[in-house]
Amino acid sequence: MTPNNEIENLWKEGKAREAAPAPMTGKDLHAIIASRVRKELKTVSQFVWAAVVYQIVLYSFLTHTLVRHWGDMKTMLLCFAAGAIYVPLTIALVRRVRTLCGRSTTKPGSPIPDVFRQVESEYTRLADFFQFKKRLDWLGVPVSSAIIVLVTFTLFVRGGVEGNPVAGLAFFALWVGMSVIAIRAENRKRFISPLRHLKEVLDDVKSS
Amino acid sequence: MHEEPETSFLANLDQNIRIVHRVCHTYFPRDAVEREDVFQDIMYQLWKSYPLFKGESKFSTWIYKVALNTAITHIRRSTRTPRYEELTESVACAPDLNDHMRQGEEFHLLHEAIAALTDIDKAIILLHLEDQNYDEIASITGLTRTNISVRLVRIKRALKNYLQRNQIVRREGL
Repeated sequence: MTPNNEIENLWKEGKAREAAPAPMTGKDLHAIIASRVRKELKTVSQFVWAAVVYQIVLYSFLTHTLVRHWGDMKTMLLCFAAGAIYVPLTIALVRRVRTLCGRSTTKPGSPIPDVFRQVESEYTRLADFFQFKKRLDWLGVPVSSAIIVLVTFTLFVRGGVEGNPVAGLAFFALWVGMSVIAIRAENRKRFISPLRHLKEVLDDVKSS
Repeated sequence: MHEEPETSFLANLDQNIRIVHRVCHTYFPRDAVEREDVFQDIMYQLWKSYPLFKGESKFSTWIYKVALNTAITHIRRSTRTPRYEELTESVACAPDLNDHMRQGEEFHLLHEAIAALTDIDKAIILLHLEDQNYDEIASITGLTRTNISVRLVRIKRALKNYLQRNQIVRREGL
């Protein structure tokens, strides 16, 4: 073994000792494709669910309140106003989620990208969505928390928010705090860690 | 699933299935579950991309491209924290060498050393060891030939250092 090609020789010797892998049959392929399609759908639905669950809670709350207090003009107006503020945010979010989850590495007519371009495009796509989500959270969390506090106090607390400003503010702060904790944990898992990894790969390529 | 593309896909794949296994072993050497998961992901991506394969490059080059793209971006879907060890750190934290006291120990050590490289360096050394030429490595990774050449020198030096240090430790251990 010469020092100059020690690595190459080691690799060849190791490969020679390896057992031949089992061939892939049509049945194996069908099983893998079925399992991956299921996994892809599950991942997308989990992602959509995680993204819109907060909105679902808000809409359920507003609908429930509207039905129960139908005829009470003040409550009805409050619910409709809250819905009108929040619906555009939900539409924007759903559109972005669809773009993020609907991507394919095999766009018709396009060649397979090299590793650098693939990582770069993954990074850009994910970073764009994360940027959008952060903006939405900054806007959506205080707005939805304010709606929940306002409606709850109007319905269940005598004097409403106007009569209990400190309690209203405390409830609002608590709601925002809980939302922020949940959003931060979700962001770390789905965005910050993966983006850090992709950035490291990109920096590694760009540094050379 | 149409019969004809499936038959030709399986026939082409059969001659190159080792490539997929090697990529999986290189990127997920210690975690069999994750390795199986990425193997299935790569097979799925290969099948989905197969209609785009026009024969402009070698089938093996195309497989490397899809497999490496999938393996490198797979980590972001995993809930586990990826490992970002530097080579020097992994020398200090080298696994128990008693585990390697068997035939093929050096090959095992070589895999350990490769596992500690960055994702791009792993791709470069794997492609080089699998006899891909500089042009093929450049087209798969997106790096220039010069860049690959410089990196290969550095990677091989790092791998040799790792092997030498571990062989010394082993001899002293005995």
